[in-house]
Amino acid sequence: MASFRLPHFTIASASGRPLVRRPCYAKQTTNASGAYTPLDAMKLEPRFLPLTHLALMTAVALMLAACGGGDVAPTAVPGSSGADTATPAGDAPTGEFWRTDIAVGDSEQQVAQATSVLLADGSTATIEALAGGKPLLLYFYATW
Amino acid sequence: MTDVYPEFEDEVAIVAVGFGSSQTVSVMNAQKEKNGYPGLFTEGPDSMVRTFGVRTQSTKFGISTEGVIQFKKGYGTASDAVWRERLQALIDG
Repeated sequence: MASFRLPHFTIASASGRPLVRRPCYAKQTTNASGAYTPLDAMKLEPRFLPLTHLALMTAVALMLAACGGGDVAPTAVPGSSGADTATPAGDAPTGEFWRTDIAVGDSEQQVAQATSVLLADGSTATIEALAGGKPLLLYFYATW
Repeated sequence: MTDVYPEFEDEVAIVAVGFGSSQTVSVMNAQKEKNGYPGLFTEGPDSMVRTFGVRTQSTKFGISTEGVIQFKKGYGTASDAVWRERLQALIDG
């Protein structure tokens, strides 16, 4: 939307005598004798925003754009939940059993992250491998 | 669930994950032996709790053969009938 900023307008009587002066976004014209143009005959002359205002608006727009980065929709990249960037890439579903075409996440209808866990014999395996192609009941357990 | 699982042990895998600094794999397996719990008891990385959005102990995920989360249940008890229904739904996909 075009934006004009003009200093004031004045509501004038039919004779051009000023009655009310208000801040305005248009420049009011005067006739040859210097009297203000009556409101119904007023011609608006656009003026552009000062450069300082443009610079300020640009800076605000850039800051808003930077702050809006958190609203970016998650990408359906297998193995990348976005919630845990420290997770090794090897914890992504391998595709041997688990789907790789659905977003990894922690909610229903998302693919579980194939996290590696430590077994009693000291080895590690992903929960995808431990499920071995069966449905899996994953139970977060604590003895306390 | 411990009573119901033997009916499904050939068709559904159970992996228990210990979380928190004290829940080592040896502590977890000692608990398994003591209580006769079914399934494989393991120790997960600290990041796993965040990855799965776990906020309470005893959170359970039902995951399909394709790795898709079918249900996520927090702490709470459920009857054998409810567990039978949940496990059967996992098998049926």
